[in-house]
Amino acid sequence: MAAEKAEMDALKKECDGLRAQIEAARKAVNDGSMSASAGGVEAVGRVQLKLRKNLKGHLAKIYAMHWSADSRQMVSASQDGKLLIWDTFTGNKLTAVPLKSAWVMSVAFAPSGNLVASGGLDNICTVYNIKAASPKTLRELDAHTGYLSCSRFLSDSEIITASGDTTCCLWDLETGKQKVVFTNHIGDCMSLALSPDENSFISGACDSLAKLWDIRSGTCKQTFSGHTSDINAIAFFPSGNAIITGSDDCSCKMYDLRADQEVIGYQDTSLNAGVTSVALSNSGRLIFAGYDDFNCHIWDSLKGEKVGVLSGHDNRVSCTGVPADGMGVCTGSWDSFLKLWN
Amino acid sequence: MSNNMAKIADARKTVEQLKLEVNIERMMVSKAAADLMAYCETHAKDDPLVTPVPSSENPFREKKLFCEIL
Repeated sequence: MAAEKAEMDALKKECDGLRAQIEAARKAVNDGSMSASAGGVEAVGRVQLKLRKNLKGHLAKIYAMHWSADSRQMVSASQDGKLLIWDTFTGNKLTAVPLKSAWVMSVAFAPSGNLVASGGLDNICTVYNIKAASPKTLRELDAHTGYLSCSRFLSDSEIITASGDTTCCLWDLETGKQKVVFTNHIGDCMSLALSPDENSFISGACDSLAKLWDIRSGTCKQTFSGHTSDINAIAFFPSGNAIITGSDDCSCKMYDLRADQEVIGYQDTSLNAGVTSVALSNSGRLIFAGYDDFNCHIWDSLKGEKVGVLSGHDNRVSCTGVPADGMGVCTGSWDSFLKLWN
Repeated sequence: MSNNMAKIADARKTVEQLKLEVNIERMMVSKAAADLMAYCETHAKDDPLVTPVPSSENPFREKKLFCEIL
């Protein structure tokens, strides 16, 4: 008993020591803030985007959406038990995929456009072939012991999932088996994003931490703290050198990967709603953050100022996405509609 | 008893993870910030949400159909 307590105490001391070392190392390179550096950058001015399309079709709350790599098709998931694939240029629905479980929380489009994946409270990531005559279930990835919060395809043969069981996982779609399990979070994983070079990914979790992972080795390379509540959303800055997080603590943060720390925060005393989703414009200058206050607020990523708002939804904005060509932004809401803006 | 063993195992894993994270090279924040700013500046003209494209090139605009009632 005493020996165990002694070992625990020693380990705790070692942890505290290492944490202090990390903080000291971060402090040592902290020679100035982003907002100070960005003082000389030209302001973007008021960003006023127009509502271009209001996509009606779902019959219940929309929980997730994802753009196809072609910047034209988009898939949305609703707890009405359906995935809808849209042609955003015309507003037409191309395909409806009925789900075995209506409690969907995540959806993803494969870069090829051939497959979509969804999952939720069923703990399963189901992959569908949408190029078949009618959508066909290709694989059911069943190993998580908690809800599926997010998924992203690397290709038609590999997908990464994030789960309420606190792990993320890389799956082989040919075999349907787990290739790598990423364990280190101590809270439900809520969101993930792939790095532009696809060698790593980031995850945000209910332990208020964001983690950077090496996809092939499975190791957690860096951990970012600062949020005081669940991180619900996470995205890469387009250069791949920084990440943006959105949290229930009503703020967003940008962490630079090479400086290994937060470089700017995005919060406003008038904003008392949790952040549900984040997406960046192609240059990285604008951050579109969906909030529980029914709006999507637009932030200047460099200056940390609010520069616009997308209003129109009648309920929480649950998902946001910018297509690869950066032409617009899509917001999805619990009000069952998706809106396209630019 | 096994609960304590589990806690010790967790603590050991935490120490190992922290050891991995402590030894990375860190860039000065000012340089990192400058890089991010430079990226935004270089790509601003190619960002349709920062530098709007003409209406004719906007794939999401409502296409006006001209009808005449004869």
